[in-house]
Amino acid sequence: MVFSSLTFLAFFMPAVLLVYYAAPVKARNGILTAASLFFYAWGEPKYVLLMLFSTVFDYFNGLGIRYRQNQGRRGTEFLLLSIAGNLFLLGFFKYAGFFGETVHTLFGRNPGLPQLPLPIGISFYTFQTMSYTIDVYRKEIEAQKDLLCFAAYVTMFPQLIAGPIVRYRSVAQELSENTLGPRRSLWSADAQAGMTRFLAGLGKKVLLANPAGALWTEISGLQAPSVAVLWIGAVCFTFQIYFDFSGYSDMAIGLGKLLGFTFPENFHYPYTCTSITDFWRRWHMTLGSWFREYVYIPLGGNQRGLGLQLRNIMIVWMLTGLWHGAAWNFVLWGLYYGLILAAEKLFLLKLLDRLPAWFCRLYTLPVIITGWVIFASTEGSGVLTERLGTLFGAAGAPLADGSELFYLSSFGLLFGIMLLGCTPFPKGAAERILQKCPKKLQEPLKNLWLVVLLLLCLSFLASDSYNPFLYFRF
Amino acid sequence: MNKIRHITAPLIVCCLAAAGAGFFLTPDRLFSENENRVLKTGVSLSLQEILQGELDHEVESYLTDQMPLRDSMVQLSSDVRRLLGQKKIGDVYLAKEGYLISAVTREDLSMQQQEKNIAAFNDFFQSCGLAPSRITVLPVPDAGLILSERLPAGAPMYDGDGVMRTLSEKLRGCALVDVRPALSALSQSETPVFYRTDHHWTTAAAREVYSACRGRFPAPFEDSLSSGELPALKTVSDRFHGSLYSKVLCSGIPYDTVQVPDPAGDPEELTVRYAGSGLSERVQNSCLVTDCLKQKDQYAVFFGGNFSHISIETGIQNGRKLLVIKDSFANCFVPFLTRHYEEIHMLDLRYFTGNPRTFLQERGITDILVLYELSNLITDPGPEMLSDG
Repeated sequence: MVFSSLTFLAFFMPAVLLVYYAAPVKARNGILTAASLFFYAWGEPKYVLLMLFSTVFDYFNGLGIRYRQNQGRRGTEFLLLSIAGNLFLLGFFKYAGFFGETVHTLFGRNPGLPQLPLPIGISFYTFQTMSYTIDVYRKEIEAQKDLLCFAAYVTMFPQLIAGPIVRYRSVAQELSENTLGPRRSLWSADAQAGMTRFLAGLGKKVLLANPAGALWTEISGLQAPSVAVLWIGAVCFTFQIYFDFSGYSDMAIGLGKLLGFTFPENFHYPYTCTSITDFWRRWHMTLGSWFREYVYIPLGGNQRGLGLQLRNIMIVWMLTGLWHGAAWNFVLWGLYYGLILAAEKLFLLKLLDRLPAWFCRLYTLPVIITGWVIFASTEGSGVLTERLGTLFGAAGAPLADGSELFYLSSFGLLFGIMLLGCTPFPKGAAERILQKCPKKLQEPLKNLWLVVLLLLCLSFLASDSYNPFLYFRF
Repeated sequence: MNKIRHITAPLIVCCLAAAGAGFFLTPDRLFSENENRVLKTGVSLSLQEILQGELDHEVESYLTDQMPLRDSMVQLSSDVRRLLGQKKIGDVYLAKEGYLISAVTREDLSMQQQEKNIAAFNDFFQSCGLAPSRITVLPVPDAGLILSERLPAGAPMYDGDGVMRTLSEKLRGCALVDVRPALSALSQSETPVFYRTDHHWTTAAAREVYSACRGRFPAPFEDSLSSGELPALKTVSDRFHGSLYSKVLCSGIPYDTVQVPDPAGDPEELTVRYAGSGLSERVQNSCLVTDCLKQKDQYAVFFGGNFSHISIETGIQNGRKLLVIKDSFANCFVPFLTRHYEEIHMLDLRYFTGNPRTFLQERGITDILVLYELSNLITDPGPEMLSDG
């Protein structure tokens, strides 16, 4: 199930929160794990076993590393086992089909690799468990002896499906203390903060991401879009992916807070960046820091000269692209950013530093939007080249054909709201307005707004499923 | 410790739990009049299907179909969208002067289906042994083509002119009637040509087209009308919210008026029979089914809707028998033809399971009328059955 579904909102979430808060403190990790397994199994009845296997596998690997280290050895065999095992799982379920297709295209021979349906969340939980065993190996954390505690970490439903990627060390203490700590209350400030964050994310997803996505679907399905219309469409996708992903992260962080955990932030107003280097410090920050910590720095980072640094950047970015999806357009997307980042490191950043912020954005935003068009074009290289060609006026499409007027007048206000939503402005403005209200009214006003927001989300969820037929359908 | 109690989290949990409870407390709805479909009322899956991961989707479908206050929730979201200035909800334009107009674009058409249909019609016309003057093809342009000035600025609509051109070039053995001039002229007057809330043309528009091509139909047996006089219309409803309203569900949309040809002008011995798969023989004495005015889809007052085969015997004895190949647009037009033909047979090819060619022979058909909404004429797969084999 997904967070923005009626199953989750009307049933799973209230039920789990009520049970979790009412239950004895000792039972909390158990309840969390059980609820998380139920959550996962609900959507993936068979692959839940895979996740359980991954959990138990790395639980034992962690213990094995520590055992070996206590004996004075390095424990490398268990580390390699963990990494190999996780990469094998990921490779087999996510990339086998892609690899087979590529071999087929290049060499004409089909290696007959299976193309399995992708287990949801596998890219996240394998990375999380690997970060655990690597950190144990590096002696940055203690191996977790309590299997239930460890299982709670891996399976935790808030971040299981779409992140943020939570390193074990950042929640280790909260996990251990979860079964000791004080009784929590739904009336606490933490619960309030968590719920507010959750609803903000839900709003981003249902009220902003979904409409933007519907518009992109419509525009990308046009037979002969003009240049202007395709740019409008690209902007729609740019909005969709941000509000979808950051909305989901908000919901995850909010739910984590409701359950007593502090997850790392994953987005920080990425579209306000002033360089692409800046963009990647604001977008999917937990993935960036995972790759930096476990791939870039071990490869030498920027400590071994410019040449190697550029090589490391390209490797990390190719892998980043590949992580997002098992298709060549994702690899291309990764390389696209790798090259731009390399150029920035070499000379662009010095130039951008001297320019005003708004001018830098005239550079970053088209780069980002173009990147998203590459990312979105999963239909094949023909579609991608045609789209890029149209965007840059090289595919014979007219500059404008009149329908832009329709899209802009029809969705202009919504685009304005989305644009504001990419900046810290609305939050700041709302807080300033609230400060001007009498103190007694401040909380009730906030709560009223949240209830209205929830109502709007439910209404949009209803209309998303509304499906009229002209002729009677059995 | 912080002793201040913040109500936010418990408040939201209560709202969500109340929504959940609402599912159990409200009885399951079986049918959605607005969506014209049966709603999901239960989830029954085999263990095999559960293991394949069907549970999530099935339960969510059930819950969204049975959401308490569903239609009101959809209305709220449509109102918010309209408030934000959106000019299109679903595939319906919120056009000027309170009109809802169906958005039919180039992407909704299929070159392939268009070719197939034209070929099938040509095939059929060739094999039926009737003179081209007895075969009329009357496509009714979509509302967005006639009411184009009322569309939102720049709103895409398919190229109706191009389609009519293709039809006139490629259809053989028939007379293609272009009703665009007549309807465009009418749209400049006070008379509505299309309903504001439904995709169909109004009875007044059908009457106008009937009057414009009255010369094509055989001389009426008893014409109480002097030439040039239009048949009278009677208003039967002023609270019609049609198909497009259902797609949009905004609040504050005014009602349409439904008119029918005055039954006083009908031939006295009119008999209408319904036949077709699963229908027991139903007989009535009028083209109108006034019970349908009590349901939401009041356009169904014409013949009660679409059926595979409706036959009309008029008692006029002039030996002329008309076959109407149609979609729902013909329903408000055919009643004007009852004074011209001895028999009229309306076939809806989406439901008809017989063989149109043998039907033609068996019934001694002397005239053919093909009447569809223009976009439907070239996208509906029904006409394919007209080609041989």
